[in-house]
This record gives sequence, C-alpha cells and structure tokens, in this order.
Amino acid sequence: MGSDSLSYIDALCAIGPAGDRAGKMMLYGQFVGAWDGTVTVYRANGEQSQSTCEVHFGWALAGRAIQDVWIAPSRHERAAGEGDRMYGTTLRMYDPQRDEWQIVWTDPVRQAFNQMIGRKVGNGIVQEYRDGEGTICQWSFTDIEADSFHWMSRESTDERKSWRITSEFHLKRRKRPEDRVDTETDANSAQLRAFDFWQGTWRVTDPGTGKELGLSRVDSILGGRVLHEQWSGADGYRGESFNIFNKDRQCWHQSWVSDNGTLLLLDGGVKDGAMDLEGTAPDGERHRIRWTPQTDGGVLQEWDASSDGGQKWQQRFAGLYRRR
Amino acid sequence: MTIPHGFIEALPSPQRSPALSDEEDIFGFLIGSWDLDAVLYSASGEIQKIRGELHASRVLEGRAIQDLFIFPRRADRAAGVPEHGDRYATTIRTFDRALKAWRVTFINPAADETSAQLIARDEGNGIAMEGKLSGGTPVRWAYPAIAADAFHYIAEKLESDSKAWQLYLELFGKRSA
Repeated sequence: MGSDSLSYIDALCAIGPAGDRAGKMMLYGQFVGAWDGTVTVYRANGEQSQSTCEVHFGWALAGRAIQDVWIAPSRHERAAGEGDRMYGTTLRMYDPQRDEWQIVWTDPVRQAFNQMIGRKVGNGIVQEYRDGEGTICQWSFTDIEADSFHWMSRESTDERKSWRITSEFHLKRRKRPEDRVDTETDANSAQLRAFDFWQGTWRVTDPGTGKELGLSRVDSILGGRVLHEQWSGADGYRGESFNIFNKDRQCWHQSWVSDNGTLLLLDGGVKDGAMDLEGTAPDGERHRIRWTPQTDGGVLQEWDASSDGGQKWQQRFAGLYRRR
Repeated sequence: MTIPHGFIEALPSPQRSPALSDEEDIFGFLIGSWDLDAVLYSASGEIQKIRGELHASRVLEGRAIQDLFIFPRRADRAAGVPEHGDRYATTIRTFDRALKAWRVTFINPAADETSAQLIARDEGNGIAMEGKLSGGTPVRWAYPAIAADAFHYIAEKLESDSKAWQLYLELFGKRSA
C-alpha cells in the first residue's frame, strides 16, 4: 500500500458493525475475513471451466456496509504470466427501512456492473436482479458454516419455471496467523480475547460533561496477543500502553508509559463484566483502572487512586470511548 | 474483531492498471486526501456549510478508483451529525469499455436517498456526469474546474415537480497538507 491508500483504508474500514444495526449486519458480517476455494463456470453450450479463487470480506463505512473482493485465479496459485479472470468488488449496504440489502457488484476485468437486492432466506442469502433482456438472475449463499460456504448463480428466462446454473464457488475460511491463538486451550483463548472490546479508534469524552478529553487508538498486534493503546489528550498529554494476557501468571497486564515520565504497571482480569486492572506505584499509591463495555459499543474507562492502601479511593480520570 | 489483512491487501493498488490510458484516466487527479468545504442548498433556499474530507485510492489492480466521502469530518462527528444529508459514503468509479465512459456509483448508507449512479465523461478541463439518485430523481454532477491541488464540484437535481435543475450541493476541495 502507498501512503495514499493508508488514509483511504483508515476512512473505509471499520472493525465491526454499526451499533444501531449490529444484528442485521451479521448477515454478511459473518463472512468478514479471507476465504479460499474453487469457482466453476457453466456456459450455455455445456462447457465448463474451473479455477482457484480467493475472497476477502471487510467491514466498511462506519460499520454500515460490508465490502468484499473476489479474485480468480488465486494470486498465489497462478502460472507465470497468468492474468486475472475475475478481480471485482461488492458493496453491500443494509437498508433498515426496507429490511433488505442494496448490493453493487463491479468487476472491471469482466466488465460486470450489477445491482441487486439481497435478503435472508432460511439459513441462506438470496440476491436477485433482472438483466437487460428480462432474465431473472439469482445469486445465493447456501450451506453457510463458520468456516465454509457455497455460492451459486443461476438464471431463469421463464419466470422461475426453470433455472440454469451459471457458476458456483466452494469456499473455506483461510487460516490466519491470528488463528493460532484460537487453537490453544479453551481457557487461554477466551482470556486472550477478553479485552478485544477495547480495540478501535476512539474519541473520548467526559461522561459527565461531554467535554472532549482526547483521542485514542487501540490496535491488536503481534498475532492478536497484544493490544497497543495510543492516547493523545486534548490537553496535550500523550501516553501509550501494551496490554497482554500473561499466560504464565494467568492474568491480564498493562504497562503504561507517558510523555511526563509515568510508568504504571497494572495486573488483573475480567471482573463484573469489566476489565479491572490494579497496581501500586513506587510511592505506595494504588491505582485501579476499569474498562466497562457499554451496550452501544462504547467503553467507559474509570481510573481511581488511593493513597491509604485502598480504604479511600479518588477518581483520577473517567472517559467515555465512542468509535470515530 | 480486527480489520482483515487480506481485505486491505487485496483492494487498494499503488498504481494505475496498464489497461487504462492517460486519456481514459480522467479521475486520476482525485487520488490522495482532500479537505472539503461543502455547501448544501435546500429546496426552500436554506444554505448550510459543513467541512468534509475525501480520500481516494486506486483499487482492483488499478482498474478502478474508490473514494471515501465524509461530511461532517470524522473529527467533527462527536458533536453530532445532521438529521438529513449526513455523508459517510463511498464512490466506486470504473471505466466501461463498451460505453467508453466511467460508471460512477455513489453509496451512502448514512442517508441512502443521496446514493446515485451516474455516467461520467471528460468535458473541457473538467468532468460532467449524468445519472439518477436511488429514488429515481435525475441528477447531474460536474467537476467544472480541476487544478493540481484544488477542485470545484457541483451537484444538481431535477425534481419531478420542477422544470429547472436545482443546485443541491457544492464542494470546494483542497488537497490535504
């Protein structure tokens, strides 16, 4: 990616669905990630051709759309000099008024430009449009499992009395490096994901007054094992932290460092539905920070300190995180 | 949930596809980031000014161009977004070899009535586009003036109860520092 692409990607991508339609978004959101498989094209004259393929889905437009890229043959399985047979993208936008999906497919390679409506049908998805000749074209997702699905296109020239299959894809979810953590013991993998709700790019405000306190960015790094926080306060204060589930000690840990020389080391874990971390500074002051996921997708962070060993606590900071 | 690496690696492209000639590459000027001053004109004559942002990249092996078109800017959205006409939108532009023109698809889930499909052709020093909003209202968009670091854009529509084209959006874009 060039530097131009970075600001484009930052503006395009979201890490999850928009809060006001999260459930509905999962119809296509379930496919977010990378898929590999085969595509078979059936021509009207009975000929058929097969190819490898790869498909990539991502959240887009502040979580109100899903965009994907369909590529055939797979880029890593091509012969020298073999070109693209398909390299297209779909934008899928959920329409809450109509409870259906507006779908636009564009493939410059095959010069395909299709617009259609998508709906959940049973456990699958059916998309439909009529082409210029009035043929009903139907694209559907069937046999949807967590790690595999089947996609088929077919057409009817006699108002659905008969159908001709035009192509089908069989796809399996690609194993990513991040998946390693999921194959560890169940106890560990649940713990490893326990702080994922804090990932994102955030605007942080005072929960009482609404005053802007700063901007935060929390990224999953090192194969999904570590969360990296970058804080930029409206007052100019800047700091960063690494957060990790320490499997040797079976607890969550945060190391916070800042531009005024603060080092804060906190340990803890999930308590009462919040990430709850605590530590003692060299001067004996105890610090306790809690991150509580909110029902709207935000996060409330509360930082309390006690200088008498934990009898009296005073709030140091409270910030409400909203996704940018 | 994270942003899937495969998706952001497969979609953007650093350069134009050799399949597109210089003459065909009429939207190449948009690549990069822009600060926008948007002016919205309502049918009743009200004028609203909002700051926005636009980020464009080549995509699909450099055969198409996609942009993100956002106003209010993300930095301003904490203060709230307008009840009508919010834009957190994307445009896909692809050259149609049969039409010898660009297909422009504008998708705005934040306010779907502003979504549109148009056909674009170069015209003088600028670009002219014709098409329809998602509800069927005819629209014409134009970049009448394009410079290296600035552009002007106007959008007009023809409501069914009107005989005259009505200006509804104007943009003044400046390349971001």
